[in-house]
Amino acid sequence: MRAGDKRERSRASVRNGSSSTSRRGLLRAAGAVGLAGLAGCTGFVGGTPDGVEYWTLFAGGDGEVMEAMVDEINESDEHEWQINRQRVPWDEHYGRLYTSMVGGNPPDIAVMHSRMMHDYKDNLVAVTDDIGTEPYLQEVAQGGMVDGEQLAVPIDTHPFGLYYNKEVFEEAGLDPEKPPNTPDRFYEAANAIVENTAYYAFDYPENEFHAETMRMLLHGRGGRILTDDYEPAFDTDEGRAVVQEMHDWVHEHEWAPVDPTTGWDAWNRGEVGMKIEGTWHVTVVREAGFEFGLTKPFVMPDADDPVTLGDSHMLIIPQSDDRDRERLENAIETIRLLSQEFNDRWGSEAGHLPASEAALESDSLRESDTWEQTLGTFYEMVDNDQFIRPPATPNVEQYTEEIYQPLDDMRAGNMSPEAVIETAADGVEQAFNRR
Amino acid sequence: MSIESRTLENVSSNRLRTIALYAGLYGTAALFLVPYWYMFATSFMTRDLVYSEVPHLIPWDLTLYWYEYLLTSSLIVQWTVNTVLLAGITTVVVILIDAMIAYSLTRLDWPGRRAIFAVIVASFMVPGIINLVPVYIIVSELGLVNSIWGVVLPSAANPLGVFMLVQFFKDIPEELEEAARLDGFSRLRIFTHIVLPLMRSALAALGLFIFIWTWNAFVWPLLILQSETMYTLPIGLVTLQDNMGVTEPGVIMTSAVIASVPLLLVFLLMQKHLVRAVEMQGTTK
Repeated sequence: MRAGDKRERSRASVRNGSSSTSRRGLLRAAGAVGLAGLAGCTGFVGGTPDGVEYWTLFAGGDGEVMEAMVDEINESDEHEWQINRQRVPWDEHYGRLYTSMVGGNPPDIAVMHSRMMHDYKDNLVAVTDDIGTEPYLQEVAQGGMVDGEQLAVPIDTHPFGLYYNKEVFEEAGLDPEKPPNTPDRFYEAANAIVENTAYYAFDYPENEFHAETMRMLLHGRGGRILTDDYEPAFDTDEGRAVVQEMHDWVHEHEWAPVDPTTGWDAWNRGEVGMKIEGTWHVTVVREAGFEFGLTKPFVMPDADDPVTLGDSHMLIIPQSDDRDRERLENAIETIRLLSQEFNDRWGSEAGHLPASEAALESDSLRESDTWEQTLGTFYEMVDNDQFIRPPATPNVEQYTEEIYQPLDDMRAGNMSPEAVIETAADGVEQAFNRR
Repeated sequence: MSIESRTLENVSSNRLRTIALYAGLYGTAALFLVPYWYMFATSFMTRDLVYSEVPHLIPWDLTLYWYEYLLTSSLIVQWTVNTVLLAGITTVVVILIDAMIAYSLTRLDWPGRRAIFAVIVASFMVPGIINLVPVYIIVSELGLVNSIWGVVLPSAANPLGVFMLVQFFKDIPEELEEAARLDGFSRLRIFTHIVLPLMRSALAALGLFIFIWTWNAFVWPLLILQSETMYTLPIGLVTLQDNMGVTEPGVIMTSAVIASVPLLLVFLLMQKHLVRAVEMQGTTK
């Protein structure tokens, strides 16, 4: 068809007052209707779902366990309500929770680390009379207490331990059944691995957990990261000794690689002797496939009071004007179920140390592989008062970053231990002054 | 030296230079492909190869484990459908709204249009993160949280799209519209039957940008879509990756392949429109 003919036909149709519904137009309209229809059919148009809204940040191994626990509650005839569980990406969990609370649209239940409590405490529903702290490990339950009110209920604590590769120990001529649970044994094992094998002796976490490792070692030497007034408290002999020790692991003894990713990959290949990690790491080492052991992370020389450090996953109920009494009661009962009735499964399957006393005493947990492999050791440290919680302070993420960035720089070889102390102390001061 | 041999020498020298030039250009292009190839190759590697000390560009031990893991342990199919829908609907809405705004700013005479255009251009300078909480509160008040429209509507009047289309619309000769008016076309008919078809390449280019931008959007959909079954691919895949610092490179690379291959296909389909839009900018057809 010539262009002139097309124009003429168009003009004619206009003159006749008819709408020119071309085949292409029809297809476009059908496409648009189809797209909208598909959106409707898949439920993607959305709406407010019924039931208890529960936001978690668990993925991987513990995410699957939480999913199974919630599914079991949902499928049970004993409970009339449904739980709408959703995983929120780890890094975005608090940003999203904060925005939803500001926007007046918070979930009914959310997971929160005990160290984050300070910034949210004014907007949480107290459950002191409904749940209480009695069913839980007292030291862990205190993480949810603010001014005598229970604002959060713990489901676990996830402290650090020292995982070690028994196959590497054997290759280095060490007894794999003799764990490196004192600084002397740790030194002996690390030196033997470096001398007798081609592997790295040791690895430890970067970023946020790098700062928490420093806090753990410092506490063992009687020091602290912060004063009660949120001033840096690590510019001391003890603080300098800890940072120097962490520096020497990499740059003096050459036990650990400069690059944490190299360490992580080597550990997964079974080519690292020991590694500081938390409870959650048990699923990773099982996947890696080598024979492993776990012991106390008491690696700091001259530490009179060695401890492990562990935050807790807690369940909170953000305040909301839209929530009626029935929904609130369902939320409280959901928290009780997850933190008590299902808590042994959280330990044996997800690998975290349950917060519930009854779960900790249960046969199902005590007879599990996880208890034998890791949780027994973690519990021993908690039970022996060799355990601390990171404090709940304002600006947690900001001040932690001010500490771990120089530590990461030091590991990379870009900063001396003295400069780390100075930079981190300045940064921590600024983090709290900005407030 | 004879003229013939000098000519032969020149030809051979030119050929050598051309070969060297092409080798250099193709070599550089290949370098850019290496990360993508590594992503693709890693998604088919066994765990041993993934964690191997020496990086392997060619997986000699193939597995579909990571794909199987993603397909069976996640809602990845649902997330893909959601992402296609969200990106498709947003693209259609943005093109429609932006084209109308741009047309009204360039062709209609109404008081304050210059000021409005200045405000639109100035809004480029405001970082999106600053608007996050206020816009969330508005969307929440409108009851659009957990609805696809809560994601689509705030981006409908896209300043980039308006700015871009305004520049294109200015190049359309007004005589075309006058001729159409003489033929009895209404303003709406001129817009739908004359202006939009002329702007096909520009609209396709804008559509491609918006589609890719929406496909990759993370923070805003995460705030609004508060149900795992409503997540889009970028959100859903991150929930599988992040866990107390534990990341499986196989999962990450396979997620990256799944999230990027549809986009690559869309780009390949639309690239001729993109090139044409760049060509026609500043010219009158």
